[in-house]
Amino acid sequence: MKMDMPAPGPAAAVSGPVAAPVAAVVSATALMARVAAGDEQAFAALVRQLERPAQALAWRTLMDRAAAEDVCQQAFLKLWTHAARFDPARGSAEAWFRRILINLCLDRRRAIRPVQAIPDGFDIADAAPDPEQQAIDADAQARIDAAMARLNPRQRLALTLFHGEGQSMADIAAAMDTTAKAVEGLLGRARNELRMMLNETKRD
Amino acid sequence: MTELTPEAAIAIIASHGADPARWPDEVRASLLALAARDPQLAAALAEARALDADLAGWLAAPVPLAAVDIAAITAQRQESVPVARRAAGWRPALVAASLTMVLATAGWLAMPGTKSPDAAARPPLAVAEAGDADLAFAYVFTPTAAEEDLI
Repeated sequence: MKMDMPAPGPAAAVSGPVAAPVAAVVSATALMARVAAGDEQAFAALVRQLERPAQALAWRTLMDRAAAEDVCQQAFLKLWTHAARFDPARGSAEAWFRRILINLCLDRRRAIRPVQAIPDGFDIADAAPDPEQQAIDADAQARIDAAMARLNPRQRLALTLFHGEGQSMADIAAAMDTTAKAVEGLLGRARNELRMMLNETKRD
Repeated sequence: MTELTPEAAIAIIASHGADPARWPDEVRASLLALAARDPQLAAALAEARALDADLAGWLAAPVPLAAVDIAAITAQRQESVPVARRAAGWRPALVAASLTMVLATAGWLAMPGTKSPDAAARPPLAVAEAGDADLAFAYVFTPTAAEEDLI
């Protein structure tokens, strides 16, 4: 596997590349070469880079805390165990990892029951100022959460990638193994369903 | 500037939302121009803007997940070089070796006077039949002069 290796740090001269310190600026793709060589520090740095966006994507796609945590753990496990399969000539480490994560999310979708989890502390009174505005905000958040929970995971995934990550139709199509036209249709239907559900709850 | 029908403009807003920056480059100017003079399109745009705001609120909400357990992952054994990639390097050598074997066998069979080892033990008619079969085999598998040049 040919990869652009980062310049070894001072520790590399002492104990070899496996123990090299990991700078924050090292790209995920460069870190993958070290991860493939069994470098646990590089893996920890890679997890730090990719964990938050991965968790956000899994949580918003699945809307189930346990399932989203499990999918993230599985995705990073694959990143570690299958690191030697990564080929930088075929794309970035982030894109490779995102593909693993999305496949796991979509594989998991049939096992998820379509109910919305009530967040911890939902019914606890808040002592912060302007309780009326907070109540309005909480109501708006609860309405959008409930409506999103009624969409299917592919729709939530497309909405998250397009509106949350700012990805293009073509990038989303590649990540979801479909066409840009199909993604447009998926987004159009998702937005339309969402709009109708939100209008219904506003009338209630 | 690509001309748009109001229906096509509404379809783009329905899938892409109200932010012109997210619309396809080739229709952005005409969509904005159309929205400025078509009240129905302007209403669709306002509705899409409200939905975008709801979505932004949903996307900004905190993610309540526990951190990834790195130690549990690195305790697992890593896969070494993938089998497919390791085998790939041998493929040309295997093809070349197979071709050499076929040509060597064909050449040996085509040599004059070559008979199979058990030919002496067979009756004369069977030997003649076997000889014809060997000749047919050699005819099919012996390379021509032009093929020899290629090899």
